[in-house]
Amino acid sequence: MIKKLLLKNNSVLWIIAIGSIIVPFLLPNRYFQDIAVMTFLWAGLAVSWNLYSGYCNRLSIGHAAFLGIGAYTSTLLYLNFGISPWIGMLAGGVISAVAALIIGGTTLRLKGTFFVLSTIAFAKILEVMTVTSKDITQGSLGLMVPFQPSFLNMIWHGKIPYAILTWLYMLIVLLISVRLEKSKLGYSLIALGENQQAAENLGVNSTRTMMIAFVMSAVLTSFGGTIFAQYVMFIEPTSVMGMSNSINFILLAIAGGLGTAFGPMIGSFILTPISNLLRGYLAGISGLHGFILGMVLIVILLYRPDGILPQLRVLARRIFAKTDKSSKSKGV
Amino acid sequence: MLLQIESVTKKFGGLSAVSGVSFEVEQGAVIGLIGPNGAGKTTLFNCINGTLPITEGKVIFDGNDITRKKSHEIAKLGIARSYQIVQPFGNMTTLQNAMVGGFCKTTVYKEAEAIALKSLELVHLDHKKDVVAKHLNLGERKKLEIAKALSTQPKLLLLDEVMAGLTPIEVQEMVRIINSINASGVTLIIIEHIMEAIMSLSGRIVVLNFGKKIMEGTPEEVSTNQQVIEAYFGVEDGEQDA
Repeated sequence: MIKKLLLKNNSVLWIIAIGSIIVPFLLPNRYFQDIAVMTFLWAGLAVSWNLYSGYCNRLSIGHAAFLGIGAYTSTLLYLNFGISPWIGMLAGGVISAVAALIIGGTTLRLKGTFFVLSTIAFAKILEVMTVTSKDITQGSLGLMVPFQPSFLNMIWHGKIPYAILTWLYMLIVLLISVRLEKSKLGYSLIALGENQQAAENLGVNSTRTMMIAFVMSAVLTSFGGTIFAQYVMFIEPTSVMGMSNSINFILLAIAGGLGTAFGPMIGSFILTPISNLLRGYLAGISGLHGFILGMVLIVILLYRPDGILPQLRVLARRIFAKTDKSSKSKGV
Repeated sequence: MLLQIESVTKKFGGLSAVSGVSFEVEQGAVIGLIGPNGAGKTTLFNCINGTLPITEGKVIFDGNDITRKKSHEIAKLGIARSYQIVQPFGNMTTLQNAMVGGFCKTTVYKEAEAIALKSLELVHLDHKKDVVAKHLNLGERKKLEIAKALSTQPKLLLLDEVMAGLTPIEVQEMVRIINSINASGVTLIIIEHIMEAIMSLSGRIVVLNFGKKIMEGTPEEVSTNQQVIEAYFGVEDGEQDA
């Protein structure tokens, strides 16, 4: 019974995902709670990224662009027109969807490296545009969100409300991802990622399938961007849309398990705390935290290229195989 | 007529891989498509199901002109194919592979699953439904190739050398499977090099050589035709290259 629960469905992973909300309440201070918030946020972001790139096996190294659209749209609407970030979040989603349609329409038919390169270009163009349109975005000076706590402003005292918000965001994205895996869209996407020709011959409309998934992924990422802006309360082109953010999406998803709903979440649960703690404790030697994080990643990719999650499944299976054997031999 | 192929030509640059091939397939038939290596058989399949754009000519399926349609549209209309070099979705299970095809005509998960299971049963692969496709052996992969195609619920199935590389016992099983597929109402065009199999399966055989149709007839007619024998074994004076 327990074995079935562990191996067959995702119940254990759901328990981890839902139960993880206890963690920020147990943590002693704001520093650790901040790490929990970032872990939830990046889990949600990585799962969003995975919706297209993970299942379809086409790396987008420009997802920070959608993070940026979400962050800047809501912040600009809030600062200039006093529009609530909740509405700004939806507006950012719409703009991201339109951007994804335009970018997707021109680049999704590109194969392999060319798609990857065009996504980098997209993020870079958007970053440069944000830097240069100083009249609107303040360029590299960045935008500061004034601290006026209220639910409507998506600003609160303390970290706990943010932890709950980012946790909810993560759960919603996870739910969408799990639903996707059991749908026509999900099957079509995975098949496309494995073999486009063969998938098309089975009636998969590749352009349409990829487009829907790409837009979904962009919109959900953009929602995360708004939450990010309201949490950090300061956005600046490079720290939001820069390459390091774009790469973080991929690292978390690959380390956790590409093309699985829960893999990117596990990736964030393990790597985001490590990365933040290292940055905190090794601040004395600049760059050391990046070096150690890099080593951890290399070890994961070298020894567990499928990611951590598939490996955990194999491990669980082995443990149960052993207990099965021992119980059988006892019976004899 | 279920399928009408009207003087279809496919050129790759200056080379005509298929030139001016015409034939018709009636509902419920099993048509054999044979010819030496490089005769253009697979290219013709690729032209019928939209994998390759046709240079000249027309393909009419079930009353629709499908000459310029894309392969996913053609799949929805009811033409499915299998590949000579098997193309499983390696990281999906056997059932999931077939379900990709199952989703061709429905969006409901349970329905797609039921369709996929039925086609796996038809090719005797249902006992392997939870095995990841990359762990199947060649015979099983060939069956999976057919099951995937069948899951799209086709009217016409194009089978490209599904028996190549199989043991004699597996070939016999495959012949039975193909017969039962035909009995379930699916029309078939089969490319095959194993002559006994194709002679026993097909009602009519079309012979291609260097991209042209050189002959069409019953298995008996084809096997005694001088042109066909020459195409396969060469002319007797032995001056041609081997």
